[in-house]
Amino acid sequence: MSNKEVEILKRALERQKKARLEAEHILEQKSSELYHQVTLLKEENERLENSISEKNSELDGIFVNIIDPYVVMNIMGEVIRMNPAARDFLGVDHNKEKVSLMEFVHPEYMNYTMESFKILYESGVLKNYKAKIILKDKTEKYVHINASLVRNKKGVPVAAQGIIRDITQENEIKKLLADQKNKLKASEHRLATLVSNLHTGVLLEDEHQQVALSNTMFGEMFELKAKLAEKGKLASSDHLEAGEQIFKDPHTFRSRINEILDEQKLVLSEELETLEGQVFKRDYVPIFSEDIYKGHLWSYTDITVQKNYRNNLEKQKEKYSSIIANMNLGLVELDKDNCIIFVNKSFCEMSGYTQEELLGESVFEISIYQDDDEIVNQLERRKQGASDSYEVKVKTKNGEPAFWLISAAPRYNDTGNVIGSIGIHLDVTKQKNLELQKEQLLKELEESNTGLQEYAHIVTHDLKSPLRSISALATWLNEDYNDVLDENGVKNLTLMQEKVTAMDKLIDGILKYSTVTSDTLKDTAVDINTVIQDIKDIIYIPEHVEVRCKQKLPILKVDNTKIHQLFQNFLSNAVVNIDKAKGLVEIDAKERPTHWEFSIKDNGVGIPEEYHQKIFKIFQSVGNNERSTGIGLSIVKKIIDIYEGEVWLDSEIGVGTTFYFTIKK
Amino acid sequence: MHILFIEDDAIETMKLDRTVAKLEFKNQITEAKNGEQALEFLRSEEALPDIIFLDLNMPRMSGIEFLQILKEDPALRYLPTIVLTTSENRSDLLECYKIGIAGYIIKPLKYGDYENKIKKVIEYWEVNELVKA
Repeated sequence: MSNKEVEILKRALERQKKARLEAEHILEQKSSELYHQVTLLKEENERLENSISEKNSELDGIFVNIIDPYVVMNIMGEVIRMNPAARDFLGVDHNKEKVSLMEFVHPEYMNYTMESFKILYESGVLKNYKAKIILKDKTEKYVHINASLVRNKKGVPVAAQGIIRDITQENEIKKLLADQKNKLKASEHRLATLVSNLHTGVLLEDEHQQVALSNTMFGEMFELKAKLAEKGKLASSDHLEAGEQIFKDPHTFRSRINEILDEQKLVLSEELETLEGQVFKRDYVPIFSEDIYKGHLWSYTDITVQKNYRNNLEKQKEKYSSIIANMNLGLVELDKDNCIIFVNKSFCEMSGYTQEELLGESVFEISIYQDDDEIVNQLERRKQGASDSYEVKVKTKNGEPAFWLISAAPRYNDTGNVIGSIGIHLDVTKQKNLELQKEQLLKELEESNTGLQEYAHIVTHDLKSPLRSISALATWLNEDYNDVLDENGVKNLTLMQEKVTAMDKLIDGILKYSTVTSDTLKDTAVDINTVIQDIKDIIYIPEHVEVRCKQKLPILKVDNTKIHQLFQNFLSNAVVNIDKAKGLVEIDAKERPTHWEFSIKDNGVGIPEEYHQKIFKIFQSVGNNERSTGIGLSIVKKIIDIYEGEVWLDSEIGVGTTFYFTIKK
Repeated sequence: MHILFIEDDAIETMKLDRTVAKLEFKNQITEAKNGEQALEFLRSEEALPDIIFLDLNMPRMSGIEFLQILKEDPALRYLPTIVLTTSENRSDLLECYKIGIAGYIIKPLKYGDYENKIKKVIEYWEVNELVKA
């Protein structure tokens, strides 16, 4: 290789070296520049990023600060952004799960929602979307949404954002209002029905005297039914004209109406009489609204019945008032506190007090009623609503004791509550005194009866005792002096004994007679067959006499002792008065409507007719029998009298006697 | 047997004495003219009688009054008391039995009947065991 070549090569290499150095230098410079640029870019980038995040957080703050729920959704309806209020309201979080807004929509609102989406998509905004949604916890809410579409740079819609408002409460209030409105309408309707069916004739006129309303009753009362049916509505003149037709004084009717209309003042309860004798009550009520006359209401009520009723009531009241005032019975009305609020004239006369002295006084303070306990008891019964009659001891003003019979009843008010009592007083002093006198007499009679019986027993004892002594002494004379007594002496002593015996029987009889009284009776069921058997066992029946019953005798409700006495007397009489060789005493009984009739038939000596009445009188003995005291049949009569029966006899001398007697069943 | 005989009537006393005298067994009779006398005797130191015959109708203290006092006395109430009376008054009879008696004898009219009855009563009490004081 030549030098030249080498030189050339060397120079070329030199150039190359130089150039590379230069390039390296430039590169180095450029890379340093680049580095600088990158750093700058980095810085810029950082700044930008910061500013973005700043903006983001700024926006986040806005979302947070929006009170209403704010939601951003994509075109599919899925939530891509929501603020805390939305999270609270919807109860979901798009960060935790996928949230599709369509799932919330109530089925009823689905179509409407689809249409609303369409509108939103086409126009870019949606206003006043109102729908019902169902939350996760199944509660239903009404929501109001205003939404707008979000487009990218190329103007393609990518999302939608909206603000939700909970209008559930608002809706409820609206519903409530609607309800109220309906109710109001119903009540208006009811009112209208009520007015049309009212028993009061109603005519409502406005401020121009045009009829605004009239009801059926008004038509009926004013005989305008036909007109009402024909025209459907009444005119103000109908009121006047019809009124002139039906009322007694047509001229006054018209003038009075005009007068009332001029005055425009409330008029109540004016009475008008129709030609047919009905009585209507008229009310006029002017209607003012904020002090401006707006019309008036005429109302007519038929009060004929009430009026007559009231008249009748007044007449009745007058009638009874005069009865009460003039009756001979004392009348007292008491209030709830037992104070006198009314007395009539008779009561004042009975008590001796004047009306002024009595009114307002408590019955316990005036010293009329003597038996406070009874009064307290009775007034308590009045409070419980019971009526009663009772007797009280009273003292009149001048101190005289008296007895009053009080018929008392509770007083009620209109609502049926006891508000006091009313008592009608009858002076029963005379009757009461008589009653007391009677009681006293009865008591005395009883005492004297008992006394008499005791007396009878004592007398008989006192009479019988000496007889016993005489009898004993005579017996002893006969015994002790038998040897010195001659026949005549013995006979006299025997006679003496006989007389003593007769005397003893007489005393017994009187005692029995005097003790037959009705007040010692003890009525029991007594079998007469047994009675007869007992008597047959007790009394002396001579051998030749037979006592028999013709049939079975009845059982009577009588005093056993008395009935014994009765039959014993008849039978003793019958058996001893038989002179025939074969004696027969027959007892028979027949049932009569009210009495039992018994007969005792004997075949004895018979009783002369002139004695038939006499024998029942005391001490009348008609037989020749020395032992007869004449008391037996009078005892019989007395017992039969007690049992309200009768006694009589059939007798034939030498043939026999039949005694009949009756005993009340 | 010791009998206390309470009776105001002298002839009645004679009747009893005569009846008792005829009896086989000897009986001691203490007489009292009325209830007070009888009580006086009963409450004295004397030995008590075995039975008492009591008349009802007596002056001052009646037989029933005597009987009541007797029956209220814790010691004397055991004495059998037989009423001897003419009273057929049922209320007397009931009252006597109510208070407490050992017999109620109605004095018959005839002395013979009387003797008979008294004999029976005494004989009856003779066969009885008596409360000895």
